[in-house]
Amino acid sequence: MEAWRATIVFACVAAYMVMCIGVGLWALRRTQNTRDFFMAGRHLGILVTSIAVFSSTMSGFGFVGGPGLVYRMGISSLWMVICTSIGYCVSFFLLGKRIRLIGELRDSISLPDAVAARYNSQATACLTAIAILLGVMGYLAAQILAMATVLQSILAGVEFVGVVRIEWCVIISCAVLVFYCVTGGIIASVYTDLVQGLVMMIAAVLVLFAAMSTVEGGFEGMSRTILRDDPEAISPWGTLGMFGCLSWYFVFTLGAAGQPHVITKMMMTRDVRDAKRLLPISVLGYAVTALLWISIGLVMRTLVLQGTHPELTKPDEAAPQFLQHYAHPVLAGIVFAGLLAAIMSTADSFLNIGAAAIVHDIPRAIRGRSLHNELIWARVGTLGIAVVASFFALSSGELVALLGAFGWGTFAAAIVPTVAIGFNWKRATPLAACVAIAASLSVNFFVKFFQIKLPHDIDGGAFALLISLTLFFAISLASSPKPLDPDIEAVMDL
Amino acid sequence: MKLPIMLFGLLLALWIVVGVASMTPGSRDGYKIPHAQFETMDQGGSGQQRHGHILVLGWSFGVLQIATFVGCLALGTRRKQCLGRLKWAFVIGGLLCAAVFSAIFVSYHGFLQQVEPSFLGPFPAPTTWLLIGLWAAPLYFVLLYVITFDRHILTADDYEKFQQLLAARRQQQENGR
Repeated sequence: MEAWRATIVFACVAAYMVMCIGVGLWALRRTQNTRDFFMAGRHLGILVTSIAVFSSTMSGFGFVGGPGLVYRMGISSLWMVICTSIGYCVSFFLLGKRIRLIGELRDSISLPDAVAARYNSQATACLTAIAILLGVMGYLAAQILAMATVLQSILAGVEFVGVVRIEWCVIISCAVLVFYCVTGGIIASVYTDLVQGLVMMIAAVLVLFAAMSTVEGGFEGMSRTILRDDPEAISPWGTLGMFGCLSWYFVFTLGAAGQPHVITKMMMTRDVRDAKRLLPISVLGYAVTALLWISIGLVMRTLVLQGTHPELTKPDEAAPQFLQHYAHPVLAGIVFAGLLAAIMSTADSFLNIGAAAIVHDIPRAIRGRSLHNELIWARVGTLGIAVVASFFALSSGELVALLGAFGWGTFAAAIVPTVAIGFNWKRATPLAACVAIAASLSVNFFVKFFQIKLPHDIDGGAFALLISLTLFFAISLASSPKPLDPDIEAVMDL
Repeated sequence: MKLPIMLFGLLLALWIVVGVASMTPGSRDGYKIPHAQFETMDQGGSGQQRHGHILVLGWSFGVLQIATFVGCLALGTRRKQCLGRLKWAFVIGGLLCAAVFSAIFVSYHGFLQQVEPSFLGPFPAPTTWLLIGLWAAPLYFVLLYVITFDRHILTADDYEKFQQLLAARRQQQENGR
């Protein structure tokens, strides 16, 4: 990248990071207790919540890994994108009302709190918190590594900085992230999400036009080039194949209702009646940001096939290479800030729910009461999780990618039955929830870490979700239901 | 039939499809074949050889999934275990999504036969059905949620009842102190 382009990109990214620190300082004054730290005082408006919902879903995986997957596999990974419209519907129909009502009724400040209220079982809450913590560590480590990689590639082009070691990039990017998360808790997180979401939307629309103008004939030109090389790559199944794509459709649609960083946002709204406006805005926001995923992936595959661009060293280079070579420097600056925004907006949510799991949910399940000075411990916990996840990210290398996939699968398979189904079905029992969580953790761990290949490339996360859902229904139907607390039963009847 | 039992039945049906799929031979060359020229890319190879024999199985897998998703949407909308007239709105939405999904398969079947595949917009027809059709069809449910929220999902009466529950709970906590 030329020095002047690199300087413009660096300036955009630096301005973005300063903004994050500013929001952290502003949110510090609004964070008085743990209810503010974990639930934003249940005062979030419609726009802030809906943008926070979609921006925390579209992670670094979407903005960095997504285009890379399209470059590598053709259309296959778009099944993860197209499922979001029905995935958000599943989340809101199942949880938009119910989780918010139970959360307010029992003053829950985390998802396991609400689980404890629904099932009247601390064991179920504790297992949910453990599943969240395991998923968070995997996902967060992957986000931190992605954040440091993007920062390293930005700094490499800046003459007065030069090549910076990855460890320093982890420290710099984590310092900004941890600063605003520790000072402002979830309030800082959702307000930075607001800016991050807007940056991501602008970046995606601009990239779409830049990508279309890069190849003659726009998307049709790209399609015809890919078709000539390999018709299956531009078919609906891409190179992965039919069952692989359809299993992604299953796990990413139902799994959307099992993402704790999204569900907790639904608990933070000012008014439960806002849910009807949150759904369309979130769907629209995600659809717009996903344009980047589709357009960069297709254009880079086309350019390499045409011989216009040299082959990438790795698929994840698709987005940075496109920005460095084919985008206007200001657009590149905005999109690089958007890349960091996408990663940080997911990472900050994970830091918050991870901290809630270790300082609030697990101690409460074991000791029966919260820690003394919980707000201070929440800040210490946030810092601690960031440090552990950073070490994880730096030491595990290839393992981090596996941990990232393990994170999504863990959330989906453990939380969909227990929360999404269990909060809408009075017959669901704590035993069924515990077995479903334990089974999902074991199957996910087994399939991912031993890299077991399922027939027709069916995804391991989809397999774990199918197992946990089936066990959950079977055990609940076979056992006699436990009586619910009268107020919880009344809410479940609404 | 009760909705949770129907959902359980759908999950069992999905298991049957997965079971049959695991007994059906996969692609001879495997999936995600390394690209002949570019190391960082995969290629699909022959679509007929990969998918020709599992089209019906794949279609069943997808349609059962759509039925499961719509069943979940309905589960979240029930009031006192009942869906009322909204049941038909879900049936229509489910059929709409299933029809679009079937269009992907029908046009993909044609795609496999043609030497020069037909385009629908900027992509081959089955891909356009996926990108535009299957992405947009669930917007029907978004509209359904927005339109029926006040009348069915959370009525003014429900909200009032909830406020009473909340007041009673807070009173109970005050007395406990």
